[in-house]
Formats: sequence, structure tokens, C-alpha cells
Amino acid sequence: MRESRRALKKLIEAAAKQERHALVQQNPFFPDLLNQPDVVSVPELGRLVAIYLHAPTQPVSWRTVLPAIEDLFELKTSVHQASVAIVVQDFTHGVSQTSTNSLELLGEMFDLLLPVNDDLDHERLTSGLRRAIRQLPPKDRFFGLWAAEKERISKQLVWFSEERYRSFVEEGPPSVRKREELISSMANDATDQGLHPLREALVRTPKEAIGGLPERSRFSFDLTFWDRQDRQVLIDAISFGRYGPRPHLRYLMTKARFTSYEPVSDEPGEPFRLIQRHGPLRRVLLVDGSLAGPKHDPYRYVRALVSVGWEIERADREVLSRLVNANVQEGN
Amino acid sequence: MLTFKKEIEAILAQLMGSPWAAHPEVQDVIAEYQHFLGAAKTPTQTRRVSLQIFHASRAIDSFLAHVAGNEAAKPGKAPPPAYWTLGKSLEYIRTNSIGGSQFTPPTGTDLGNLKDDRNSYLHRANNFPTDGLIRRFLARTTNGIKEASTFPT
Repeated sequence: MRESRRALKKLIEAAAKQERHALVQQNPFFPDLLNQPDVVSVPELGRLVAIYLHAPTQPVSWRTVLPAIEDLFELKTSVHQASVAIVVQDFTHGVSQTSTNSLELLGEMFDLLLPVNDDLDHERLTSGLRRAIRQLPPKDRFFGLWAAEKERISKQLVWFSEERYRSFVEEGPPSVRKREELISSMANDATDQGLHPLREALVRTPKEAIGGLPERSRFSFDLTFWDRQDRQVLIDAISFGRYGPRPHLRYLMTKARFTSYEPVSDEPGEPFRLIQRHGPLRRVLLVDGSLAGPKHDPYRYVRALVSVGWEIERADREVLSRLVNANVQEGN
Repeated sequence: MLTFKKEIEAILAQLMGSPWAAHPEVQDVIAEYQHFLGAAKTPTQTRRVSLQIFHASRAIDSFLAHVAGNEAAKPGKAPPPAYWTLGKSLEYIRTNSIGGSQFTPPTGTDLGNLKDDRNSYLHRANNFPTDGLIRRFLARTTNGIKEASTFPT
């Protein structure tokens, strides 16, 4: 029988408290994390363990796994790369057939994946959690990636200022223009200007290679063309309705992170190194609706998106001209 | 204010869980942060604000001084100034980095502004910041501590 999310969370909290600790926090609030760990434990000074419970109400797929991987990126770059990240993943609803790789990637990248399914063994889950809290080391093979990403974020944040993005966080009515409408309109304008736009652009990324897995999927963008400086402009349109931007954010964050890197192998058969993408590439988020964050930090979501390399634009009449002619960041 | 209290608690966990926590000087910063959390329970607003500024200031001053001093003590690094102030710590970190890490640009700017904010509260009689200003001041100190705790030891 499927355990409720609440019951699973209670079990995780109890396991964290049973283990010797200097501090345990349920539902913590780290200001830079878009999604919080369910429990944080500091078993001793100098060691932090974050436990995430992911219990989707649909089959596990890239759409559910990539936001979970965003949680990992944020913990490792914003809290500490040596923090231990554990994911308790509920598989009760199965795994989407086209996304089996996604699950393997989750297991490869998190420091520990503890699966939960219909026949949950409470004792086993508790002892697995307690052991991990006590002694599991972080995966140091990813330290280079976390450090590179932290440095990249720092460079990208030069482009952020409250003044520049004020209009995106102003309260306003929910978006009324559909995503398809935004893209069609821009594609038509781009065609008129002789930019030869392509609808749907697929971009290779190292996301599966990071986990030592064969590449089976690519990231898809709504539209692409090349600007006057011959940089590829990849556009996603997004229309935020009454529920606001939160449900989309973590997926968009991971998409920007993964499309910023490519794997390089010095010799055939040698382990690859991850390097920042060489080709000039710009990711543009065409936004209709408000991107306002919580009241005490309205710029939180805009800042997060800019930090991973999104250029944020309004779908107005001049947007195409701004994108084609702008002398902006390299997008990586 | 509940969200802010939770943020402070999370930063305390981050500090306690970072490799810096093993350093005795940082354990004093952790204790200062626990006082900072406790100050939120002080019922009188002027006293509460005074205590919060006091504890948050001591925490950021001591932590950045320790981080910069620890770096300066490494072989081949630039020598430390005669004494550490917030400004000198920031300057040292900006000029020399900590193991290659720096504050992000928004946090670097915020920490620079922090000095000016603090001078206006500490040196003008009977001047108490509004809730919004104190919130911003405290957020700047916690952002600084949060980022500095991710620097390599």
C-alpha cells in the first residue's frame, strides 16, 4: 500500500532525530533554494546532511527528475559542495518508459538515492537513512562541476540589477497570451526579417554523460535563430497564469545549467572532462505574466534565472530587434 | 518575521555544517548567531533591534576576519593588515580571494553598503531603523555569512 507523503516525511524526521546530532531542522528555509530539503541534519560540527523527499503523483519522468536535480545543484553551490544530499524517491506510480535514464541520473548524481515503493520496509529505510547521516561521504567526483557552476553563477549575476528587471516583478493580472501564440508571433516576425528561424531546436547536453549513461534525450527549445554576431539564440516562451512561475522554475534552471556545458574526452575511452560550452549560445526566456517572488524578496526568481544564464525578455514589439542587435552576455 | 526567523535558523545550520565550523573562532560565531536568534524574543522593539544589530554585526565582523585571517596565514599569501575591520576583511577578500572564491557581485555590493548602514545606526543618537531597514541590514549580514561559509577552508 502506498504511504502518504506525510507519513514518509514523519519517518524521515524520526530517523534524523534518532541519530546523534548537533542540530536537526524540519522544513528549513534556506533563502537561495527554490525548493527546500524536507529535513536538514548536522550530526556533528562541519557536516551537513540534507534529505529531500520526492513523491510525485505521476510516473517518474525527466519532468519530475530535472527539478530534483536542480535541488541538488542549489544545495551544492549555495550551501556547500561537501553537504551530503540524500533523495528519498517514491516510485509507487512507476517510471515513464521514455525516461528510464532520468532515474539512473538521479541515482548517479545524488550522494544517495533511497527508493520507496508499494512494499516499503520501514526499518530498512530508517537504518539506511541513519547510516547515511552518520557516515556517507559526498561524491567528490562532482566537486569540479559544483565549483565551475558556482563561478559561472557569480559571473552571470553581474547582469542582474533590480532596476533592470523591475517590470518583471510588478504585480499584475495573470498572463492571457498562450505560449504558442507568443512563439508563433515571434517566428513570423523573425521570418519577415530574414532570420530563418527554426521552430523547436534540440540541444545536446552532457546531462546523461555526467552519470556515465548513454545519451537518449536532448533539451528542446521553442524557437531558434542566429543573431547579428552569429550567436545562436535559443528561445523558450513561458506564460505564467494564476499559479505563477514556481512550478516551472526548477526545470528551467536545470535546463540552463546543463546547456552550459559539454563533455570533452582527451583520448578515446578516457573519462571525459566537463567544460563550459565553447559555441556562443544565448538562452532567452520570453515571459508573459509576473515573475515576482515572495513578498519579502520579489526578485528571487528573476535573480535565480539570470544567475544560471537566462536572458529574460518581455514579448513586446521590439523584442526581436533587441535580441538580434543586442551586445549582451555570452549566454554561458 | 516568521520567514526571517526560519532563514536565520537555516543559516545557523549552514554555518554549523560547513567545514569552517571546526575552527574554534567560528564556534564563537555560531554562539553569537544563537544569541542573534534568541534576540528575536526580546519584547521591546528598540531593545530587540539594538540587540539584533549588535549580534549580527559581531557575527559578520568576526567571521569575515577569521576567513580572511585564515587565508592570510597560508604560505605565499598577502600579509594581513595590522588589525581586521569589516572593511579591511572585505578588501582582503576582494583583492586576494579565498582559495579562488569571491563574493558574488550582489553580495559584495551589499556588504560594502552594510558599513554605511551600520555607521548611521551606531553613531547617531536615538536613531532606530524602521522594520524594513533592519530587515535589509540583517539580510545583508546573513547573506555575507552564508556566502563566506561556502568558501574553501
